[in-house]
Amino acid sequence: MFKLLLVLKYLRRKLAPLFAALAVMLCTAMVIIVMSVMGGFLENFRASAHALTGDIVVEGPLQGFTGYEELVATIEALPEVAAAAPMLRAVGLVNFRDTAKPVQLQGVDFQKLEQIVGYKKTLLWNNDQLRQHLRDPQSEAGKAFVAKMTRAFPIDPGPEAGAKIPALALPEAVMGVEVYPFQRRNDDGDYELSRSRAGEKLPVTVIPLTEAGTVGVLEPVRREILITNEVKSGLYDIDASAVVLPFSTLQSMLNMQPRTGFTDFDPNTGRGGEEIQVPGRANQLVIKAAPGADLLAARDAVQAVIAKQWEDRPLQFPPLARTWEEVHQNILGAVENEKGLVTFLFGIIGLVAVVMVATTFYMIVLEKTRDIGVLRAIGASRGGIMGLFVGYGLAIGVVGSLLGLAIAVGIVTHLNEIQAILNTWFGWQMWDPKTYFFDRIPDTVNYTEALRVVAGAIISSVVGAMIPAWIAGRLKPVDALRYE
Amino acid sequence: MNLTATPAPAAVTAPPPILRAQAIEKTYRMGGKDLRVLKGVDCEVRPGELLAILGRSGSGKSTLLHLLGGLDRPDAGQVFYDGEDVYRRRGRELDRYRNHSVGFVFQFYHLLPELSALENVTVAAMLQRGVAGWMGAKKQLTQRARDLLDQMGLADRMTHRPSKLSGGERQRVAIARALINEPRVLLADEPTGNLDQETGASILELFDQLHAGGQTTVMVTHDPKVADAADRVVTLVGGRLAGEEVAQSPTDQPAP
Ligand SMILES: Nc1ncnc2c1ncn2[C@@H]1O[C@H](COP(=O)(O)OP(=O)(O)O)[C@@H](O)[C@H]1O
Ligand SMILES: [Mg+2]
Repeated sequence: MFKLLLVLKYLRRKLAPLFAALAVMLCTAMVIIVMSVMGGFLENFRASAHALTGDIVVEGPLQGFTGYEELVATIEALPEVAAAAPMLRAVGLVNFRDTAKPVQLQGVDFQKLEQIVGYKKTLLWNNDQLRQHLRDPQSEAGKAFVAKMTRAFPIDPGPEAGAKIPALALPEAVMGVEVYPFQRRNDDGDYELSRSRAGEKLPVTVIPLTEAGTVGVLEPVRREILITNEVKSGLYDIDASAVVLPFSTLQSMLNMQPRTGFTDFDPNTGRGGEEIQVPGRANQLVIKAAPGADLLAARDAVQAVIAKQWEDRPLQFPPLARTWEEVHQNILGAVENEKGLVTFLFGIIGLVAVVMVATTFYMIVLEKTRDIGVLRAIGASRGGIMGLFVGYGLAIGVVGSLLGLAIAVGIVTHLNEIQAILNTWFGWQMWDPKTYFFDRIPDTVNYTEALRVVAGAIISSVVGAMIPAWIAGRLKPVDALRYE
Repeated sequence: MNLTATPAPAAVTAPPPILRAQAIEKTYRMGGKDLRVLKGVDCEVRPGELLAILGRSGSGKSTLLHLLGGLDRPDAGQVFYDGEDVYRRRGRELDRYRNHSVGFVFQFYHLLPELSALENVTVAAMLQRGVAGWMGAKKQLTQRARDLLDQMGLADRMTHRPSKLSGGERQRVAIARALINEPRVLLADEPTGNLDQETGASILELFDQLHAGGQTTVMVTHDPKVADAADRVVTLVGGRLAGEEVAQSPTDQPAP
């Protein structure tokens, strides 16, 4: 009981424990803040990567593989899989006035894509913004154009659709917001609709490959598409390079569509043998796993389906199924790695807290030597004295770390406001949304981890108090009493 | 102290001593040199008496009192409390002995500066009690502490911290603290040594009252005047006790 009384008294009366509590508080706050922000970035990043890739990706050679329709059907029938869709990926060139730029072309069925990775939420402009952006919604043509621009999923309407108004015949597409080299973010980190390419035509050029993957046999193909919206995915690389168009559009541009051909066709003479059906090709599949399914198990099941279908194609490498984490392994691994470093730094900070508490407590023990002697002389046990100081350490740990938690929560949840204030008062931008791709600093605290840090800080304080407590407990009452 | 050798009739009826030191030796080692402070001290503390231990400064009075109070260990010899060797007790029992069996009053008060007068007294009652033990007896013990402080004339000083009290008041608090657990022996180490004459006299009067109330007390002092109030006076000289048989002792009248 005397421990409780004295701990409470010592907490209130002395400067030294204030410093110890302050040290614990700052260490705790710092670790929680850094962890929250770092973890927030990692989480944002993972979420973006996951949203873009879907759960599982099957990748084949660039020239594609046949039989994808059957493969998709078999894979979709797997219990581990919720949905699957073929995809095309190709290198392309686009022209903005006199500027040519390489882009990553993706051919998808947008409706399927929405099912598998959530395409709509990556769109930057909503329909109201688009309607305002388009000049002339009054005329028939204007109305048709607005309808085209604002429909849920871009399509390739085919040449007939444009009998009267050619623009309406253009295949619709979306592109990464940073693809347009003249797009700039304002100081708030927002993109300007006035600079947007939404509603503009974009000439796209691809180089088709032969079935065997040979480049240069087929002529480059150029086509105009209509940009109906822009995409902001959260991953800079994607947003600066992706142009997403309907699967059928890209497939035919790449000469990979199912079609009628001839055996032994000689491109020089234009003559061939018998008429045959040439199957279509795709070079990727995107797959959404069934809810609750284990991703690795789903991946293996998909790979098994592929292996089965490739049994009669001994000369072809089967496409490879990978989970989204495996696809982004390089960059995720780098961030995880950084987390390891940060954990190491936290270890050092923890050590600092222990040493701070230990030295402060050692000073307190020195200062209180006589009182310890008195307490022992009037009947306190050795364990009681040790308990007093360990309890003291515990109290300082609890007070310090809870204050630290409160401060960290306060700072982290208001990080963006703090940054705004710093910016207006001192013109100092702690966080420049133009350079970073997430336009807000992550501002949520992971309370499970934060409480773990608090527990760590309390343990550190107790450990730090233990050695001085042991020294205090070993003092002989007479020696302590004679201590000047 | 040859009770067994010459059993005088008066001695037979005398109650056994509460505290008895037997052939106590204590040597301090300082810088390689041995300082033999106690060279075989025998002494007894009898129930109800006020025993004064006189001796010059540095003669080892405090050392002896500490040994009687269980604060240190003798190099040789024993201290018996109720016939039981104090220093054969284990650590926790020795703590209990210091807390319950004896009460210590120091020359320099040694109050805990963070606690109020009242808390300085009650803390001694808490030491050997857990939270539950204290809570159970809190009301009663706090009342006892109040009564003691009241008795010491400190009724309006209960909430003052030691720094706000005069020397005499501090020593009264210390005495109350020593008495809170109702020890059978009060051990006072020059309780007036740090006080002016008048205050010292009032403290002595307090000890006198306690003694009159039956409190067994051992008081160490280097002031012969202080010894006047004692039943018995012994003097520590050259590491040994001299003059053990002093007239006023009511329980140990020398044979004619
Ligand atoms: N812990 C110690 N270490 C070394 N010498 C000590 C210690 N305690 C006491 N002494 C010495 O022992 C002698 C007796 O001390 P003490 O018992 O305090 O005497 P008194 O109380 O009679 O003045 C003194 O010379 C003192 O310096
Ligand atoms: Mg002394």
